Amino acid sequence: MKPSESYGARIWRKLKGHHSGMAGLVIVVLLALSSFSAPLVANDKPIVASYRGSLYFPALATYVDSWVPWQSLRYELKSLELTEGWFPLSGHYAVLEGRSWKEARAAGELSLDLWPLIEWSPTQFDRDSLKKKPGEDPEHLLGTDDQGRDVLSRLLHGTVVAMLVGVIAMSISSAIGITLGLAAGFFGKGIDLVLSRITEIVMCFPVFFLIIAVIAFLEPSIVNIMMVLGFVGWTRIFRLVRGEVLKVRSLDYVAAAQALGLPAWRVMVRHVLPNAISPVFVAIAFGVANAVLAETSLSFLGFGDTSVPSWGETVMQGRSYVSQGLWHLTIFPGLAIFVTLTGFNLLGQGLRDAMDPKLRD
Amino acid sequence: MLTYLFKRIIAMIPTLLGITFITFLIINLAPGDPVATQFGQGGSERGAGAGEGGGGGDRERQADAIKAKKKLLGMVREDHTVSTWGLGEAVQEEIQSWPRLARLGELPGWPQALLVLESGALVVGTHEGSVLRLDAGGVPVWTARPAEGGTSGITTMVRDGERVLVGDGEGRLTAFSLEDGAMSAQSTALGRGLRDLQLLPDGTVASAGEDGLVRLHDASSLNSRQGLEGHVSGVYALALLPDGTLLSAGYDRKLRAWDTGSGALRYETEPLPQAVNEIALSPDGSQLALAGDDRAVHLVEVAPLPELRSRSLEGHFKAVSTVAWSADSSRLVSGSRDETARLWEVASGKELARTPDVAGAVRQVLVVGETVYTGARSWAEVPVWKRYLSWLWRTITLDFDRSFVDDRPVMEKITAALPITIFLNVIALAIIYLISIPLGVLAAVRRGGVFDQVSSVILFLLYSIPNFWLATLLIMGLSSERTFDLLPSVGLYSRGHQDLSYLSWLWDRSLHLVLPVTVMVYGGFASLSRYARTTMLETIQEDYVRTARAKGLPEYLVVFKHAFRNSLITIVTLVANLLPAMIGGSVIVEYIFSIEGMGRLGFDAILARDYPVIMAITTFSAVLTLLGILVSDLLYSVVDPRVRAE
Repeated sequence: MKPSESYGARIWRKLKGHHSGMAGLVIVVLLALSSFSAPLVANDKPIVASYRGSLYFPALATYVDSWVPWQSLRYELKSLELTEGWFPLSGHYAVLEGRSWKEARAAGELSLDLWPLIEWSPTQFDRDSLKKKPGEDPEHLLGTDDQGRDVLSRLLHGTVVAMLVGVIAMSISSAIGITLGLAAGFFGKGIDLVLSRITEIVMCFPVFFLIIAVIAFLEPSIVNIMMVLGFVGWTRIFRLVRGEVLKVRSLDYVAAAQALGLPAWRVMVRHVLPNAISPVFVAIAFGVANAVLAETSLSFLGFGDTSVPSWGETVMQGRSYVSQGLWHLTIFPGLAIFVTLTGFNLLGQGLRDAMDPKLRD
Repeated sequence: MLTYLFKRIIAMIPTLLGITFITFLIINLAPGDPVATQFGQGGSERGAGAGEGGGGGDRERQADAIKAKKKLLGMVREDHTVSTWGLGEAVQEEIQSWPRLARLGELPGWPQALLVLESGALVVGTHEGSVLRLDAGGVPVWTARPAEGGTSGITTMVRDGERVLVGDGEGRLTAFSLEDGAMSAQSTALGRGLRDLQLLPDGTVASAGEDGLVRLHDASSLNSRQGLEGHVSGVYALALLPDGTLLSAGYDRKLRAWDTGSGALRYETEPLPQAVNEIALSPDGSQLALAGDDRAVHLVEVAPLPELRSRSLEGHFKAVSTVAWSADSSRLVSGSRDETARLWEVASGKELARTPDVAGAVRQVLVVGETVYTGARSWAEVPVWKRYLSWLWRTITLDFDRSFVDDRPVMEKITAALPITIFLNVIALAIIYLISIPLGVLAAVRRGGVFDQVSSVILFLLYSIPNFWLATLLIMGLSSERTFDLLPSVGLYSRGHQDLSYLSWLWDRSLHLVLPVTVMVYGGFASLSRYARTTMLETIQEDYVRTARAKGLPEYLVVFKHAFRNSLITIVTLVANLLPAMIGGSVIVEYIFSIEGMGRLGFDAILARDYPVIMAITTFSAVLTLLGILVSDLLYSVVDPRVRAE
């Protein structure tokens, strides 16, 4: 071991040697890539099209639709694009006189067009092709669901939903957990007592039941789901951070920083937090998996946001049509969830092993 | 040990308070009217009083039902008092604020019929069938009931010298002594309610019946002597004109006049817009005020009667149920189902004052001198802190009231569902422990070996399978007509399981358990076996294990007798930490396999917005979890006495 090796570099080196951890990392990277490319791979709009002499990039508009979960912000962006013509958003919405791009293509009005591999968007209904199994309709590689939506397209765009839910929910959880944990561990005494009690109370509630109840009372939009998942999932991070901060706080260099007369927040943020944060990454990796599982479970139970292509919703349809043998509705999205969970869990496991001081080489 | 237990229990109290506070917060912050969604805003537009017992329309009963449900949630309470308002206190500029003078009495039910005596004393008939005399300060002097154990309300009262005549929702006419409340006479019950009484000059009592008859009752026996036929549906109101003519009106909208001597119908008017709920003759004898279901008070001149040329006072937004004149006939008070009583100036038709906070359909108003009395089905808002305290008390006493959906006690539903969930979870936990502890121990003993690596990867993959997906796959593969129909996937037993012999019942039961239990267990293997492995690894490094090895003991003895037994204890205490996941996790399994346990109960309650059940389940599982943690701590302190010293 080189004496000058930094903490991060050592973790990375150990993670590289951890087979399953690396496998998890690869899966996570692939999922991220898939979610970034989904609008260009599966879409009912062309990537590039020339219509009546001007060039459009219609598929880019889907990025706004699927990557911005906040509806009001989405409308705001769209209206900016339509009325103000803002670059780089401008030029995605062509005026097609009420027709879809496919109809325009069929009419032969597109002089140049480059289409995605899968010419279906996840929320587009193909009325002529309901409940098709894979292979029954060459246009739909993995078949269609009961409303004629392309399963493969939903799978690809489902990665966007999973990533959004995981990342945003865990951001909220981490923000709450780290802030409160830092405060509790650093200040101790009354603050610690109160915050620990609150955590204990929150941990007593059956989380999934609570989530269903809140989602059922609120409007089941994907934003609400992310918020609720974020607001109930912080306890684990709180406990980790608090424990680490308690350990770090008693170290000499913290006393030194305080003796220099630095303000408390500076000691906390610059000196204590960086040395107490590493276990949080493990918790975040597992937490993303949990959030994805919770979101798909909610969709499976019918509490999900039906305007986004959640994998859980398709599994639910598969369950309703077990007797009709629509196995593809269960198998493929379920596999997608399984792979996602495995990826994040393996990554979390790998990180944990890499950070475990007892396993130091 | 006892002091430790005591300390732990004391430490739990703030947490318990927090749990009740959060459940309380969830329900109170739930958006919208927590109850209205159940009933919708429908109901008949007429809302006419063709109802049972104490009268009152569908709409009023619906409103009462909604408030009764709010009462269950502790948001409102029934306000069983008579309110008084001063005629002179009416503020002209601000219609809304008619200051209340006093609330009289703490009655057993809502006041529905009122009678004021000269002394200011009050006789009140309530919706649950009591008659009370209150002194001027509202203190009860006597209480009587026309029928013991009867449930129908008192609908109308009239004074007859030294006795009070009381009509109730079952059509009984009863006389009580004003002095001491002793019953002096009672008629037979008609079945349909009486809505109004009128004393005739010759001592005869006239009654208005919901069955459409105006009856004349014998003064001493009170039994019906003659029925006056003419109305085609319920009669709600009676009045006596100065010339001795008896007027009646009701649901059929026509005012009819009767000759009380012969019982002949003198005349009937053109129909009014809607049903008439009360007729009040002005003290100067010149005008009639009719309380109409059409939300207006109609003023009718007495003199040119056959033709009905009326003027109306409009302002109420629901049916007017009662009306009364001031002594000088210049002003008029009306009470309505819109939960207000309003004061009108008769000459100008102007609204002078409105009660602000009766908060319940007004059933009777009376004006005596300068005081207005109102009897209403009032509800009072309960302050938030009181609500919380009562919710806390209900949690402590496990009183969760009744379900909104089927009116069964919530505790009954929970005690039916809880054993099923616990049964399933105990089986699942037993299987998880039986399988994952040996796996963990073996992995620890052969640390880094093939078995360790392979088992950890397989368990990890199992852990990542979403349970609803596996459940669906299992149903598809093992319980579907298209593939193999090997195992049942609905419920915990077959139809007709009661008739099976014990062995085949057991077999049936076991078959039904296979799929749900499989789905419940596989995810637990990974975490528990990993925990067992870690604990075992730590124990193996202890000095006493090294000592055992050094003594030359065989390896299996070292592992099982020295290492395993010591690490087992810490693993067992882990049970408590698995509790929170129990009920939350059972939602999906019980939903998929149609098992009537706690998870399913909670799921259905959430769908139906059955707040008492949701609150009960949330509280229950939180408290169970807390108890689990306590038990785990206690177990731990038994194993490791150092914990207690902290």
